[in-house]
This record gives sequence, structure tokens and C-alpha cells, in this order.
Amino acid sequence: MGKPRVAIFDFACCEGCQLQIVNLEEDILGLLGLVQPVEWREALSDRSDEYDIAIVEGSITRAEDEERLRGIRKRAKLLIALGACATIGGVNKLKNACDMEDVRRYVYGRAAAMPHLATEPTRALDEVVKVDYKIHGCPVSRRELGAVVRSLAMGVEPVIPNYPVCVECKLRETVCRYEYNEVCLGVVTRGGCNAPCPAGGGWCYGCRGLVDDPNVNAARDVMDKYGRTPADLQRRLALFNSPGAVSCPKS
Amino acid sequence: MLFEVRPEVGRLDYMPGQFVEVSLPGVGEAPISICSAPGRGESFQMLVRKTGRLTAALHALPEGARLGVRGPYGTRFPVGDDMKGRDALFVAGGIGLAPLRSAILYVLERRADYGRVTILYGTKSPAERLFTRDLAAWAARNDVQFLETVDRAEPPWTGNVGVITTLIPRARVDPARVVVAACGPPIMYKFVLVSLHALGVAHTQIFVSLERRMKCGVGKCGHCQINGLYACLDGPVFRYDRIADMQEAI
Amino acid sequence: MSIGQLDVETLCAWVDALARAETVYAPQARGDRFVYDRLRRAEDLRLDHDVTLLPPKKYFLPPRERLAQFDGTGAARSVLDETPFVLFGVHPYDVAAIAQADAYYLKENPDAHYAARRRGAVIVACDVQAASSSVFAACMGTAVAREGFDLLLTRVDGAYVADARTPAGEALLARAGRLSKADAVALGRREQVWQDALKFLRRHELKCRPADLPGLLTRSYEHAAWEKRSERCHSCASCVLVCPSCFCFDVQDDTGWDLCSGERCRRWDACLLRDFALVADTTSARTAWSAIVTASTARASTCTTASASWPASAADAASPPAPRALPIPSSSTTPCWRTDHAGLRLRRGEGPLPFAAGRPAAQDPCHRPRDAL
Repeated sequence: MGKPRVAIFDFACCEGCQLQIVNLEEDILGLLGLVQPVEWREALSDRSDEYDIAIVEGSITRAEDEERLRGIRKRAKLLIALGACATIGGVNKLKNACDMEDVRRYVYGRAAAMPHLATEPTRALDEVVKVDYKIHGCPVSRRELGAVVRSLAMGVEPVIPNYPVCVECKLRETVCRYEYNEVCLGVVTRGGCNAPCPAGGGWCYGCRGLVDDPNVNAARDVMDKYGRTPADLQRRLALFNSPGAVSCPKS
Repeated sequence: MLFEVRPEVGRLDYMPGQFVEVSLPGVGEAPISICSAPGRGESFQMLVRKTGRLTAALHALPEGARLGVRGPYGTRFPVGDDMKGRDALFVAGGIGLAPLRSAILYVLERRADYGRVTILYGTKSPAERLFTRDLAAWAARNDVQFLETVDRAEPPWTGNVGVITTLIPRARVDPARVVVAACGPPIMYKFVLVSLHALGVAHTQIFVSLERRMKCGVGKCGHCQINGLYACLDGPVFRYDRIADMQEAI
Repeated sequence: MSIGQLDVETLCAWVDALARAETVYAPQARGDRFVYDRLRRAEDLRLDHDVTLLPPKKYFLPPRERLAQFDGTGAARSVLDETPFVLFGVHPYDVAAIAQADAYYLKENPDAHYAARRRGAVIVACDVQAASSSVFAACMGTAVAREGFDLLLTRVDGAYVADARTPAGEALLARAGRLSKADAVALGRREQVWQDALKFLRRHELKCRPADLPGLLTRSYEHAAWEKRSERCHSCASCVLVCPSCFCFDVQDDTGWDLCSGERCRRWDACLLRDFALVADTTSARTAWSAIVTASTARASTCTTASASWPASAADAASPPAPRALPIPSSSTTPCWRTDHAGLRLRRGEGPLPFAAGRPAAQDPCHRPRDAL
């Protein structure tokens, strides 16, 4: 049995998650021992339409993106969403609260009318096609990326955590950011990242998306307890997790 | 898929109803109940449905592969004590037949030690019937009453259709003498227990096997707790009176 | 066993020597909180800590722990950490929690990994000097430790009474060198410390005896309070993870890129996490159970098995630490608590605590650690 053929594609994103693959450093040899990349714009000049696994980065913001993604889905036996833009829409979804024409003008100014700059509300991959596995994060963690690839190579389901970031803050003895008057999204955000942002003195930005079935009532309670409002939480959530709820600057 | 597991060294002695923790390095560990008759020691069988990480990997193993086994763990069906000298009634639903098969084979190997033996088996459809050779053998015996049913018939099935409780009135059961061993989905227990109660079978004569997320198998990791009990230590086989009033048990 | 008295100078010299020679874990300031961490020198020791972010259970059951290692052939080897260590400055309620963990992990089916760590541990308990703002130890009967430690330190009139209860504690104390005898006055004051602890380490009251709790909880299974609580529960498990007496874990494997070598690790898990009771067919045992029936057709395959015992089997485990004798403290005199309390209020108008409500000042560069002892 030959190694599975892997193709890596990108849509609207910063390509930072693909860079995490390149940055596997010596581990990349291990990765190449398990899979054979056949298309990878960031690292290969080859192209191929014959592949088993598609790893897709970025979100879908244009009609032609949607068409291309559907083609990838058709050819791939397995489709993996790589990084926040692909798994939840990520930062790209910020614009969904705005009028698309405004967005276009604001970003591209006088060039906005050019046909290739057309834009639509952002969608995560699974809002367009079936996604088999999601590697969350902005950017994805190399450790988790490796674990998912190895699980799939062994033919078993990868373990993707479904507990909030709070768990990992507790395990590494990070004091709750609310104690320092921060609004932290860790309580509703899927863990697995080992909570580096709160540990570094920031707050959780929610880049791994929400846990399954977050408790909204509880979130409201936490806000009350620390003298914050649900709107404070909403504003923070909008960065990675909301299709709306932010005001858009006018150009 | 049915696995035959042979210890490389030593033997594995177990009783019906017990389970082993099966592990594959790098994949993980999962509890699997033993479905063969005890007493052979040199090997045992387990029936594995593909449901998770470990079971998927087990299904992909080639013949002769090595795997790790801890156990046996847990409580047993009372074939060697309470049931001895009494009537035996086995009630199996779907894959619940696997652990019960071990008990049934044990009893049939020592047929003279028991009174009437009755086996009730229900599946969703004829295609889901397990151990079909055993089923045929049990049906052919005249010292065993074997009844089975399917929820939905498909050709060429000509047997009973309906849920397993429809078989209970036809079981030749003396409520005073019978000891029941049951294994199946919780919904089956709910209805079977009502039927048995209606017949006048005491809770102390009913033994059920419960499935929980047993992880360590030795009462440490906490996953299989049912209130104060551990399914891996105090179960998986429970005498029904001990859990009848317990929330979440069934 | 001996009871001696240490002045602060002697205590510091002793702790410094221990920290140099042994692996010592003790409460220290991190930011504006306290944590148990590796102690390098006496001046970092904070015996005036109120409560630590995580209880000392992390040294017996680490948040993440390797149980076994697999080599390239798939052969497995249990990993046991037998490095001896001194756990210094443990509050009585944490001593009680360790005893509870011992009962859980060492009695029936002893856990070899826990036992290995526990065997190598010397526990130096220390009576509470600064009360946590939500302390409830006294109402649970854990404000004073009667057993479960090797050595007990109690701050009395600016010095420490050191009470060795085991040979290990005795040996540790012997390394303090010139030890003055604890006189009747000091012992009397220590008794008063205990009496105060019993009286004041209760910011919350229990309206029943602790022994009644299990029965009450069993009978309150359907109580509306649970529904109300669950409406406000994030299922973040923070409460369980920081709890000194919660011990559930999850086990997961990971492999190297060769897919053969690897390790089996356990990590703290918590019953309040949603997936805790999930069985393989992805229905939680606590919600509606879907039928486990999707039978496959039986077909035969042959496997052989390693008579594997990993994680290490019960047989590898050592016997639990021997029970300890319980000298009953006697006589009582005046209190000897530090009185620099931060104006915390008690319920029922009992007045301020005779305990300092200690919190390290946030990254205070002027922190004078000696004052903490």
C-alpha cells in the first residue's frame, strides 16, 4: 500500500496555518514518511488532481471559491479543515455584519469595482461542503496537527478535545483572567491549545471556536459577577466566532 | 467481528459476564466483554463492534497480531452460585448476547446442574442476529427452550416479530425458581423488568449487565461511576435489587 | 517521636539545607497568588500562604503523567516516578485530602504510579497562619491535622514547634541541628492555635455533621438545587480540577512518526465535562441512552496477546504507607496568631479572624520574605 496522497489548498486566509506545517522542522521528515504531498502551493511546484486527503486552509468568500472547494471535496476521500478560517470562518467573518459593498469599498477603495474583487459573506468550509476533521486554532498547533495526521495514518479517529480552555488554565495554574478584570473567552472556547494566551497575561480570543453546546446562561452569570455585560463578551467573540454583532467603520 | 485471543504466556481465567481491557500501543484501551465459555484458559473470544478509536483499529488488525490485555475485571453472572440448581432464564438484546453467550455456554456444558433453561433473544432485524450457529444449536436442543424475535422482519425471516417482551409470556418460567441473566440496551431492561415483575420474579433473582465508559477497569479513573458504584468494580453485572432504586442506573 | 522548637533563623538554615539536598516542593508566591513549586531557598517559602492555586495532589497525581512507553516493536514498559521529595508547608485540610487520595489510590487495586510517588514523599504539614477568604475547613473537621503527615510545624510566638510523627519526619527534623526542646508554654500555645483553628477556620457553616453529607446527597438526587446549579454551570470543570479531593483521570495514547513507539499518558479529567461519561458509540451514559445494538456479523480472526500489564498492574504497587500514631495535644494557653488581619468579616458577628488573610502583593519588589515565616 502506497502512502496516502495529500493535497494542501488555501482560500481566504493568511496562510499561517500552512506555514505551521512547513515549520514542523525535523518533524516534517516524519510527516513525509507517512504521506506524500502532491499539491502544496506554499512548498511544492507540482500540481495534481489525484489525491486521497485534502487539507484545506481558509474560508469561503467568493462564488468561485465555493465551486473550487466543491471540486476538491469531490476528488478527496477525506477533507480536513486547517485553522480557524477553515473551521469556523475566523477573523474573516467579521465582515459579515457589514454590507458587502461597503466592505469592498473600504478595503479596496477605488479598485473596489474590479470584478475579481467581488466578495460575499464569509463561510467556514463546513457551511459549504462536508468536512471530515477540523484542526482548530489560529494558527493551528503543530503538536495537534501531528497527532491528527498520525491518528489518520493509523486508521483511527483523532481525538479533538471538547472541553473549554478553562481546563487547561487550571492544569497549568493560570489565574482566571476575570480575576484581573479581563473578559476572557476561555469559558466557552474549545480547549486543546494548552491555553497559552491567558498564561501569557492576555485572554482567550476564542480562535478554536466554541465548545459543543456552550451554556449561555452561565456566561451571563459570569459577566454579572465581574460587573461586565453580555455585550462585552459579544464584542470579544466577534473576532473569531460571530457572523455579526460588530459595527463596521464606514469608508 | 469475533476475535480469538491467546495469551503468549500464562492463562486467563475468567467467569461469564467479566470483561478485559484490550489495548493497542498508540491507539488506546477499551473494555471488551468476553463471550466464550470459561474454563479454557488458553484462549478466549470477544465480539467487537466498530464504534470507537480502539475498536476501529482492532478491526483493521491482521490475524496473528499482538494486543495488550488486562483483566479479567468486574463481576460475573451467577451461573456458578445463585443460578445453580434453579431455572435459568437468559434475556439477550442485540450485541448483549455476547457476554450472555459465555454464561449460556457455561450452563449448557453443565446442563444437569440446572433446572429449566430458557433463552430469549431479540434483535432489530434478522441481519443483526449474532452467533447464528449457536442459535441453531440451542434451538435444536430439547433440554433448552429457545425463543427469538426481531423488531422488523425481512425476507426470508419467518420467525417471531416484535420486541423481546412479547416472548416473556411464552417462556416456561417458574417465578419462584428462576434466576434471570439479562444483557441488552437500557430500553430493553425497562420493559423486560416490568414483564418479569408482572410474573412475580423478585428483584433479587434478576442479574443485569450495564454498559458504562469503563476506562481503567480498576475503580480509579471515575468514568463508569453510577452514583456510588463503579460499573467496572461493582459491575458490570448487578443484582437488580441493588440498583433498582438508583438514579441513572437503567 | 520528638517535639522541638525552631527559631526562624534555624528554620531558614534548615530549609535552605533541605532545598539544596532534596527535591522540596513548597508554597511560594507567584504573581499575587500562591502555588506549590520547587523550593530553591528558604526565603521563597511562604508558610503564611492562605490557599494555593492547585492543591498538593499535583505531586501525587500530576495533571499530565506518562504511564507507559512503547518502543518501536510495540513492546510496553510502565513508567514509575520514584524520585523522593519533601512536600513542605501543607495545610491540615490538604493533609486530609492526601489521606483521602491514599484511601482511593492505595487500598483496593493500588495504583502503581501513585504509589511510587507516595512512597517517596515526606510530608511536612504546617498549621494555618493565614485564612483563605472562603475557608470552610473547621466545619468539615479538617482545620487541624491529627495524622497523615510526617512532621507538623506550628507557628508559636514567632518561632515554630516542630512535631515529628514518623521516622521519616524525625530524620528530616534531625537535620535542623540545634533544636531546643518545646517547653510546656510553647505546647500550650500550640494547643491554643489548634483551638483557634477549630473556631475560626469556618467562613461557611455546615448545617449538619460532615458524616451526614453522603446520605443527604443521595436523598437529594432530584432536588431542584441541581437543576438551578446546572443552568449556571459552564461545564468548565474548574471546581473539580482545583478540588483537593477529586481524582478522576483520562488516559490517551500518542505515537511517534513511526506509529509504533509512543506513550500512554493520563490527564486529570472531570465529571463535569460534557464528554466524561461518553461511551464508544458517542452517547453519554448520563443522557438518553441509544441502543448499543448495531450488530456485526461474527467472523473469526486469531490474535495472540501479550500478557501485558500496562499501566503497571496492581501487583507492582507497594503497600500503602503505615498508619501513624496520634499523640493527643494537651493544655491550652493564650492565642499566638499573627494579628495583622485584613479586616475580613465573619458571619454571626464573631469578630475578625486571628488569622492573617494572606495574599502576596502583586509582584511586590519590596517583598521581605523573612516576614513570611
